[in-house]
Amino acid sequence: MNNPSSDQELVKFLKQYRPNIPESAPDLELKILATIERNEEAENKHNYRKKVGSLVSNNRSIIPCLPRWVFPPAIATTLIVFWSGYHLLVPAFQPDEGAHLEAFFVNNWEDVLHDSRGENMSELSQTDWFNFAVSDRSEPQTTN
Amino acid sequence: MLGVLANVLTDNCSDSDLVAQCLKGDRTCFRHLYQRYQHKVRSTLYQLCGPSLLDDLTQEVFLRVWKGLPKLKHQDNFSTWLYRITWNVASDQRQAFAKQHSFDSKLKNQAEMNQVVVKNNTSDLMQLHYQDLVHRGLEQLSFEHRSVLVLHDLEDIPQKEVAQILELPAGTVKSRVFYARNAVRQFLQNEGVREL
Repeated sequence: MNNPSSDQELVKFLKQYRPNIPESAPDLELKILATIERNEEAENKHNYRKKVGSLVSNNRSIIPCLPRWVFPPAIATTLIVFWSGYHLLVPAFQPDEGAHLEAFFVNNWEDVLHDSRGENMSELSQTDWFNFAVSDRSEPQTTN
Repeated sequence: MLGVLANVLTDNCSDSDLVAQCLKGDRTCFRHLYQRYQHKVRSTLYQLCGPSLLDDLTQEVFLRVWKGLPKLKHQDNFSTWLYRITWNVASDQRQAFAKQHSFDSKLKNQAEMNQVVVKNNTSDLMQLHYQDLVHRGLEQLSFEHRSVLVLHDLEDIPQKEVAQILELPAGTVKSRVFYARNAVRQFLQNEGVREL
């Protein structure tokens, strides 16, 4: 075991004769600060890209990613549904129904032209003409 | 005048205050932390890794510090944490050196040492001789023993804090200090240093 005084002498000797440290480059301080700034800018850019990337991936997860083979059957199904729907909503025109409709129209017209109600209608119209003439003559009196 | 006043104020600021400002993105405060500790960091790195790449290693330490500041839990222990990063950088560098240890790097180190010697040519020859001995004495230690000796004896960090920096039990640090001192003393005595 060494005595403390010899340890102190050794430490004193080492401190006294420790090699001189070479001087640093004059611009070392500025160089370090510039590197820090450059690294921070690069890191900010990296973080921004990472953020954008995560946003895009989140959006992708909202819209489920479907396999490609699904699309052609889906389009075909859609077309079939529209086509069948159109045919269900618009009734098909049967030839029998056309004949019935035609007969209905013909009967209607005949009734209108040859019915006795047609004479009544002409009488009514004469009465109307009369009423109109009376009212026409009385109007100036009221205005004066 | 205002600039000088600001400097005085930041010089009086504690490490934790400066760290808090740094966390708000204040790079001026980080600059003050750098100025406060860069010499200690360089000195430690130099004792542990030698002169080559010293600027690069210092830069690496302070870049890691800036990046790691948000993870620093106890801002009062900034210096311990800083030394831990310094030791990590030195340790990484030692491993890199070990991988690519070549004749070239030896030559480079020798050339750099010669440069230092030429610069200090006017100094006392005995001083240079002792400096060389201390350098070689530290170099012949293992990295673990050298780390303990540099941090405790040259950087004046208490053994308890060294244990925290190196994440070792206090007893291990104590025994390594003992071993390292003995090994260096032995080396210096073998080289003819009688004062120890």
